[in-house]
Amino acid sequence: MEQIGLAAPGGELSLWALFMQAGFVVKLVMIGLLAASIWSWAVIIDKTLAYGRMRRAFNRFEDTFWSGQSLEELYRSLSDRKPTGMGALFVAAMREWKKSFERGAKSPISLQNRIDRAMDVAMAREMEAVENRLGFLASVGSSAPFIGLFGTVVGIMTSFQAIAGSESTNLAVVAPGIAEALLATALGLVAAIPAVIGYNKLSSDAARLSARMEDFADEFSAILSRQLDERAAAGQRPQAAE
Amino acid sequence: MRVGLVTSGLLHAVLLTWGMLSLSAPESFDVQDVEALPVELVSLAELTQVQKGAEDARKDGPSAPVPTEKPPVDKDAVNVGDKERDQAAPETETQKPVEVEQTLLPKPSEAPRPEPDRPLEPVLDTQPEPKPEPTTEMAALPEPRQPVEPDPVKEVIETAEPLPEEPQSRIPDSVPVPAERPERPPAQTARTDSRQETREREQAQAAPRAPDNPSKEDEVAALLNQEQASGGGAQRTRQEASFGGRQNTGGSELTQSEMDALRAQIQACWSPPAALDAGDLKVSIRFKLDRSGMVDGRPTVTKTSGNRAADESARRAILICGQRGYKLPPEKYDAWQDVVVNFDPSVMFR
Repeated sequence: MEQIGLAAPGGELSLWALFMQAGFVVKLVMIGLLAASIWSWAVIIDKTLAYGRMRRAFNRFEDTFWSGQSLEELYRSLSDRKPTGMGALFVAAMREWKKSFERGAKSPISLQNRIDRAMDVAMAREMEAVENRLGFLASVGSSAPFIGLFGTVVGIMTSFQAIAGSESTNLAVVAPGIAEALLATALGLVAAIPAVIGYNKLSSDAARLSARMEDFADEFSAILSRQLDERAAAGQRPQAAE
Repeated sequence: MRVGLVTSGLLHAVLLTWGMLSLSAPESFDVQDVEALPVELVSLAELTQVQKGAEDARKDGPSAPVPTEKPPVDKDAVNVGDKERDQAAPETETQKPVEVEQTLLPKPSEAPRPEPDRPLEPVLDTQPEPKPEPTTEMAALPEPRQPVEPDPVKEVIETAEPLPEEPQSRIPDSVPVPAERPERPPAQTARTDSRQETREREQAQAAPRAPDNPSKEDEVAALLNQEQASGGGAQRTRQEASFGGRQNTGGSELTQSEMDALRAQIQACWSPPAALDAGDLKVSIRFKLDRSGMVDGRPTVTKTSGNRAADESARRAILICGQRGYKLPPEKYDAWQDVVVNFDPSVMFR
């Protein structure tokens, strides 16, 4: 931000001059709005990159999952490193499955319930990581215009008081104060518009990711349920033969 | 998150720098010179009551005054000043005696008198001049003849009376003139009639110079000596000539507002008979006023409405209000000494 200092070649109405002649409250508002803008852009960039990574990871995982590879092998390769997204769901479900069979649990219905619940929890955890900081964008988008407006109102108030003191209604006296005050609204809008657009885009992206994870969870749950049924049928048959 | 933050920060820094450089000083608006539209409020009286003015007067000078009767300048006045009667100004205490250099014309008695018998010679010399007239027609050159100084000659002719005076006189001056004469004749080739004209002109020039009247002499001196007026005298106004109309347009007429004032004064006293149709009640009444604004004599109905009650009410209105006297500008008495008032209730109760 040091560059700002060098660039003020123009007359009285350059951005820097406008900022410098603003009152304390207006300056505070402007700085806050600038920070909000920087942070919301940071969130937008970060989330866009993260969602892209996540989508690619989902594709890769689905490819390996449906490639006919043994689930045991997949579980072993995934559980070593900390998995995210669909991998986390898969690992959570497989862990529950393995635990149940290692202890020799008999009831397939309760096992099915436990696996679903484990996957729900894993998904909730994943979705929280996906959706965090989107709320900041939403609140910047809705409140930044108001904050800017507040700065403008305060700036115009003080500039009108100054005008009353100067006892001149010349537009050249009135204009700089109002321009300076309007800069606060401009900054509010500058912060709010990308935040609103980014929030809408990112939340729809997040909803798509969560739908994909839910789909996977349902499919995997179906697969496990089929396995349980097959095992139960295989277990009953020897019993019936006895 | 760090990647996003750094990228965002850099983005903002770049944007702000660009904004500082390019949006720093917006071009100020090109304000075009708006020509101010001069608006002047002109009252009606300014158009209807224009005073005569001078065309070459200063435009920002005072407005033309209402003409006053100016007594004619006293022709025989001797003293300089502003007073009506010619009188020597008494010295006031504030005024110190000023030495005034008066450029008086020489009194005739002081003029040099040539000897009676001698001056005749130049006269004789000038007479035979037409002799050397050549036949060649060339441009007339009457100017060289002027150094003759005919004044003393003329005086001598007029006052032929020989006055034995001081022996010291201008005789030697006039004597050389004929001596120089013989050199010039070839140049004097004008026709005789033109020479006669010059002679006549010379006579005309010479005639008024003879100061026969001492008072006229003083008048000339008074004109020449433009000293501060110290009272007395007959030159009246010092006001500059000012702009005005070509001629006076009725400075003595009533303006519209003054007519309205008179109408309002009469209206206050008029109560037309109530039960009648308003359209029938148009009455014209003529009456005379004296200088104090009182009604002089009995108002006469010049145009009756056909209704006796209405006529009488109008006449009564004029008389009632006239008891106190109408308030009208006394300097315009000529305009309102004879008034005709039209009573029209349809206009009155609007």
